[in-house]
Amino acid sequence: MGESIFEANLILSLFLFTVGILGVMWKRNAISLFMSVELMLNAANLAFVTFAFQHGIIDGGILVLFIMTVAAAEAGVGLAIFIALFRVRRHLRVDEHDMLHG
Amino acid sequence: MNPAILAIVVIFTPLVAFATAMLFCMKAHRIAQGLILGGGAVSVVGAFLLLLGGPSETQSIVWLSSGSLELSFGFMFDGLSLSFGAVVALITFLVQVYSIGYMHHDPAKTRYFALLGLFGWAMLGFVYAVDLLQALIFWELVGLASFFLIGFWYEKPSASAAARKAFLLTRIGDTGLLIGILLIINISGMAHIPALLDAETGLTTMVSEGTLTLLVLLIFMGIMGKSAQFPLHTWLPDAMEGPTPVSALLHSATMVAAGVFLFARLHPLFMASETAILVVLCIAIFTALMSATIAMVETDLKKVLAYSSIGQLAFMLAALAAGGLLAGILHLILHAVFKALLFLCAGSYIHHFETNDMREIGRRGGRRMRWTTAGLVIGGASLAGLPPLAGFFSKEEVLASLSHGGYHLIWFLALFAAFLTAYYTFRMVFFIILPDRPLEADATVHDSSPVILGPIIFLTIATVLGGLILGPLAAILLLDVPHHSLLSMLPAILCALAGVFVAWWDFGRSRATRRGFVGAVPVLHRLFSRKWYVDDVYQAVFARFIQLMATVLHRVEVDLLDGGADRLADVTRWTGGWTARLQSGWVQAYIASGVVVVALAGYFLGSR
Amino acid sequence: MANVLLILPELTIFLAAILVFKCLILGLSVLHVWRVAFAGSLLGLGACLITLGMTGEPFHPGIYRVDLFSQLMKTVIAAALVLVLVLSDSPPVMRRDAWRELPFFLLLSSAGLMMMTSATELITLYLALELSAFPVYALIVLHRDRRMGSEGATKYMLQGMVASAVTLYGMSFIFGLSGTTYLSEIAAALPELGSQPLFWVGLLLLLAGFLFKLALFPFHFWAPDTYFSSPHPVATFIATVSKVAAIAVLCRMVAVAGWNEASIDGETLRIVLIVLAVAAMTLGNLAALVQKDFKRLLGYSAIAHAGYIVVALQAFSSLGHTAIVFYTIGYLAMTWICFMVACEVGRNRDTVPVSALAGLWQRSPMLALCLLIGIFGLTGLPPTVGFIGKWFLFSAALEDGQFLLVLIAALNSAVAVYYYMRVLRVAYLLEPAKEDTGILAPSPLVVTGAMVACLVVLWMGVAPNYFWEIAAEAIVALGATY
Repeated sequence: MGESIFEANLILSLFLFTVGILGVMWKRNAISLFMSVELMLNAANLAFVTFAFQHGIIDGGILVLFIMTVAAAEAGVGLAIFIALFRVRRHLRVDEHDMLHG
Repeated sequence: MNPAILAIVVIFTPLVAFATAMLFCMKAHRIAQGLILGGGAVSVVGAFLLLLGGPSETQSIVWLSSGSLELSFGFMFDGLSLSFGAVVALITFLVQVYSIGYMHHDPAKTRYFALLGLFGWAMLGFVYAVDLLQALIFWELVGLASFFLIGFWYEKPSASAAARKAFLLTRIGDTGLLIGILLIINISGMAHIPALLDAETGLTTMVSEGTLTLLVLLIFMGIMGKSAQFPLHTWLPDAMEGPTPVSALLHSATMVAAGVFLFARLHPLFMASETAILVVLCIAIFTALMSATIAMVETDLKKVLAYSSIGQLAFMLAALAAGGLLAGILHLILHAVFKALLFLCAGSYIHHFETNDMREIGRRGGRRMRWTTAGLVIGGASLAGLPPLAGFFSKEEVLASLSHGGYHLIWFLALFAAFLTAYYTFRMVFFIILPDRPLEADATVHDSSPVILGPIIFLTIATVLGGLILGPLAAILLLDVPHHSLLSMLPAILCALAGVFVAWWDFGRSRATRRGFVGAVPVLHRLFSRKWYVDDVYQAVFARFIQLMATVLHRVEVDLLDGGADRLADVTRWTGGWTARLQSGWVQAYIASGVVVVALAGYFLGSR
Repeated sequence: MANVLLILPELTIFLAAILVFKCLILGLSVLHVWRVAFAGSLLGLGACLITLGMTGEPFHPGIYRVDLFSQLMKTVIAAALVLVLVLSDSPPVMRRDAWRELPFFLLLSSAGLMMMTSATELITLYLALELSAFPVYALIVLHRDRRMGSEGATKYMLQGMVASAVTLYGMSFIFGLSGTTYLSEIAAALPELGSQPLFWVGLLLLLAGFLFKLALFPFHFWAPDTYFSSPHPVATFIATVSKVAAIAVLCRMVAVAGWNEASIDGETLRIVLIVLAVAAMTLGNLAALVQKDFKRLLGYSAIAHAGYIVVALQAFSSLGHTAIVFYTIGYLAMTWICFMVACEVGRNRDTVPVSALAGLWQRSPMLALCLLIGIFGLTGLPPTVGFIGKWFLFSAALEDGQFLLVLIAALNSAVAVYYYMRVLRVAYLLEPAKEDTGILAPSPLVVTGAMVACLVVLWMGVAPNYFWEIAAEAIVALGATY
């Protein structure tokens, strides 16, 4: 693979990460926020894989497996918490939950 | 006995008594009282044994060493520590005895006595400390005990407020002190006081005079807070909200003197900086004049005494700054004795009449409390600097050191302050012993109980004989006794006498206006109705000036400084409320602010 | 065999967690579950003490390092875990049905935290970070007040997930630049890496997740909310145990970035840290002034303390690190004492307003005395470790010539006096409210724990030399690695 591929991949990764961050800041639904965070994790994954290829070592690829596992676990915990929240509040619009402030 | 072991006994017995009383005796008032008094007695005996043993080698152990820094923990047994330690232990014990009577009916007696024990520990620990950091630790503890004792009657909102104010204002000074000590340790790598003071290898040889000036002025900030010097003095009059024995012990005799003590302890460092000397002298003399003028218009007995404490502390600082080590320490010790006496007398009146207004005390027959009144007159005469009482000797030394140091303007102003001191002191005395209307035949006025009178009588005798310690004190401090001719003493004596006379003129004689030359301004015709024109004219001119000054300073005091501290607290709280509002509860705003800050920081990092 | 011995603490805690899980499946009563967990945590503490002097690498070289530094931090974590478990032996404010799951999650999270202190490879570090975080998210949800618990958990988790995603992205930067995830190799390549600005950006992103755990500005927003909305023992856990591990990682990362002859390129990172520290101290202390809830107040105080710790961290020196390790031990004890009081006072309350402390002096002199010691410590008054510890922190920065920073920190601690003293005023000077005049009687276990914690606070304050030397040795061990 040529250098340009690496560069393109990294730019894509940065783009994904930015989209993720913007999503976290702009979306209202907790699930959408969650998806945005997953996007950020995947941006990191893409960066790791790209760098692994660039350096010609396998580490980066292994890392990705770990990160995906963690992300899956995160989804498990996160969705469970959202369900708990939904049961009490009947909605998941995070900007309307304002019991805690001051 | 090894002095170090003795010192440990002296310092830590009050702590043990405090802890035991606090933990196990909350309901058993008498046992707690006995414990604290026992602890106090042990301290007195120990401190006097130490004093009799004379100066000996400093003893310390390494407390902490990290890298080049070595901090020690130990005791100093030089004349300064020994003499002041004995005075502190003695007055603490006397006040404890006095408190048995004074706090007899208070339901929270145990807490009160326990806190006196805490104070005794902290104060004695400070006096004997060998390391700057050790001294700072006990210094803070003293402030803490003061906080609790001022706010002892916390159900009075004014007492709570006064306690907080005292803590915050002294804490402002302490911030400077902390930074000063940190810098000293950082520069010299040590905090061992004798090593720092060493003329050949000490701090003065390590830094330039400019740096030294900065260091000692930072330390002086702490002294200004604790010894209530302008502009950090406003807490002390408010601190009179505490029980009167506490005012006697902490806020006149010992705790506020801790600042002066620190100054005396680090005397060589201050002496090495011309600028620092000048700053200290200016602040001290200004404080002395200001407090005296304010005391002249005050009618609250305890507040008059509080302002006089501020003024006398300023005298001590001025003497020390002018190079008069012996004078400063002598005044420190003797002032502790006679000011404690005055406060205890005031407490005796207040306990009986339940008012702080000295005019009312006088009208209701204050002078019929004979022993108390005798104590008040002798203590007042000593404060005024009348011979042959304790205050005369020490004030004379203070003034002499100012004139010997070549600070003639300061000397002149100090003389004037001494005149005012005598004036307002005897204004107070005359208000009480010569009330403006004849006393009714009131049989209910009787003197206080023996536990209250005992300490008063003891301190009265000490005040009368106090001048005798000059020689021994100079010996233990390894200083020469200065000899003054009668002629050189004359100005001080005359000033004091003049103050007493003017006070008598204004408040004592049967036809006195009882408004003071300060209050006599707007009524010019009255001046003409009097027969001594010269004096009256002189007084009128004089009084205008003085009253203007008093009014201005009173406004400065009340609006600017008092109000300033309150405004500062308000603004801080308001900012706090505003800051807390950032916590809006909107989680995405949290994340966004995190991201923005990280992005900014990342941009900053990336662009370098 | 030697390798197993090296990871004995983590192993013990993990096995205890699994055993507790088994007990939960078997449906044992809450008390039995708690006993198993408590015994496990005690064993874990013992294991930490056994391994305290050991050094080695139990796994593939470079991934996981056991030395005095990591073992000291693990000992502190294990001790704090024991103390937190002490507080959870009687019904905390959790849902009845979920209470018995508390010890399991605490053990699991502690195991993750222990791994964090030893991890010397980026992905191990990330895994440990997430392992320690997830159980805590789950615990907050179990609050008795479901509205509060679920909202608190959601917010904490969202912020935590974003922070760890940022951390991961930072790791990818560093991996990309250095071609390795091993800290030792990164440290070796530092002279070359340090000249690239992108490395420092990556390092900052990497630190985000740990600064988040420490609650440093601008990652601090969760602290008051989470302390407030968590069941009391869980809040205690978050405020004490997880702080230790975060501090350990921060120390390690900064050590990697190089202290003593800190490269000039590191200077910019220091400036960032200074700005963050100042913001955290000021913000935390100011906002704490107006707090009415005790746990929320402690949350803001934690933010301020994060600032104090970074004041020493930014010095990039072994002295600063020693001060941090020393202060961390003391801070943990002081904070635990305050939360212990909150737990005891708030047994039947969803939240602990400061006013609930009114009359504590009459309700339980023991608790009031503990509160006094704890609050004195946090205020930084002698003779507690709070004073001497802050002293060390500030003098480390001063050694470095950061006069202005220390001035700001000192002024901040002066402001802090106000709200700490307000707590004491309420506890000592006010009469208890009508509905809670009852005597509070903490269990013997809590009393024992409180005595130990108070003793540590006072001992470290009066005779700091012993602990200081241990901390110094640990930092020497840490420094020898890189």
